[in-house]
Amino acid sequence: MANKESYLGEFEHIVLLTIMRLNNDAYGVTVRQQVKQLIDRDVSIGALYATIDRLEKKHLITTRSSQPTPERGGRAKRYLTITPQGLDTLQATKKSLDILWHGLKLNNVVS
Amino acid sequence: MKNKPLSKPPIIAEWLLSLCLPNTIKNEILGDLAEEFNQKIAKSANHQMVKQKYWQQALTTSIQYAIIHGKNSLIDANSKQKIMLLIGTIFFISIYLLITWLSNINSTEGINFDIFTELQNGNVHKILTQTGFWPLATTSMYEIKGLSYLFQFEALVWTFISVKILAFCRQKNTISKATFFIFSLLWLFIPYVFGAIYLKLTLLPIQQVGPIVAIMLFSILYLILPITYMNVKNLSTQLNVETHS
Repeated sequence: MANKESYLGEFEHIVLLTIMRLNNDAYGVTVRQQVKQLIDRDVSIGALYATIDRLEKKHLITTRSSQPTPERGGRAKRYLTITPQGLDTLQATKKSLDILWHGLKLNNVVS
Repeated sequence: MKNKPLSKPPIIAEWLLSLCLPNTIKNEILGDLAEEFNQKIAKSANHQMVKQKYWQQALTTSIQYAIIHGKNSLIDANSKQKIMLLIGTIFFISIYLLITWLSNINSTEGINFDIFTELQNGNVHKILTQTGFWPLATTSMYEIKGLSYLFQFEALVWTFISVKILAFCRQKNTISKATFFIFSLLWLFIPYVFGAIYLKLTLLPIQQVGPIVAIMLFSILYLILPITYMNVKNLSTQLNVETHS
């Protein structure tokens, strides 16, 4: 977890968790809709694809193309799947966050 | 959806996107936007609004990929740094010459428009577009004695506040580099825009215009170099990320 390669940025974390939730139906449109619905965050399509690109380079996700459909103007979808390495990284990030959060209450913090 | 014929997103917006997006993700992004467009068209009665939303996304995404995003952009971070430095320096020199000339006006010969009326109307920038201005300004640079005319208290206060706020934003890292760039431009031009609006609305006598024009121009003169520096530094970090990724 300590090296830069496996470090997850906040948005990368959000995208990975959303892909997990969507299971076999994760692609650009559904990821954006799910993020909006669950945490009320508007994600620009450019930012999403830049993150997908980064996650793929880190080998945390894989992508595959579907058949083109008419409602997409005859273009294919790019389905996203988490790799075992992606799952490990998510688990490690969760573990680190749990350790950091353990015993902390936000109202204990004096500003 | 099933009963309605499918709508096509605005053609020009799609063309703009296909021009700016890298080939690796062009189809996916265009497909996603088209699918969302059709879903919204099916749900909404206001098709014009849906088209506007599409345009909005097309423009932001095109800008993001054409200019901002590292490896896929038309201009790489290194070239952006050079362009930014060049523009910043040219801008600084132009404003410096304009201030020097305005502080030492003894002739408007060669300027073929009514400079004083334009100053009263807040159109200070129009002077820079006058070809006759440049030879006069460079000559006035040699005529002026001392540097005390380059001191303007209100603009210095504005510069101090702006630099503090911008440095705070950079340090906190809460906004993206592109947003920081736009934000810093806003700080740079706020005194100028407000000064110009004030002059336009009040039409002050020419004797009272000087202090306002001074604040408008000096705040740009003082701020342009720190702002250029901060944005170039931001691009350096982007360049480092690109090199190490």
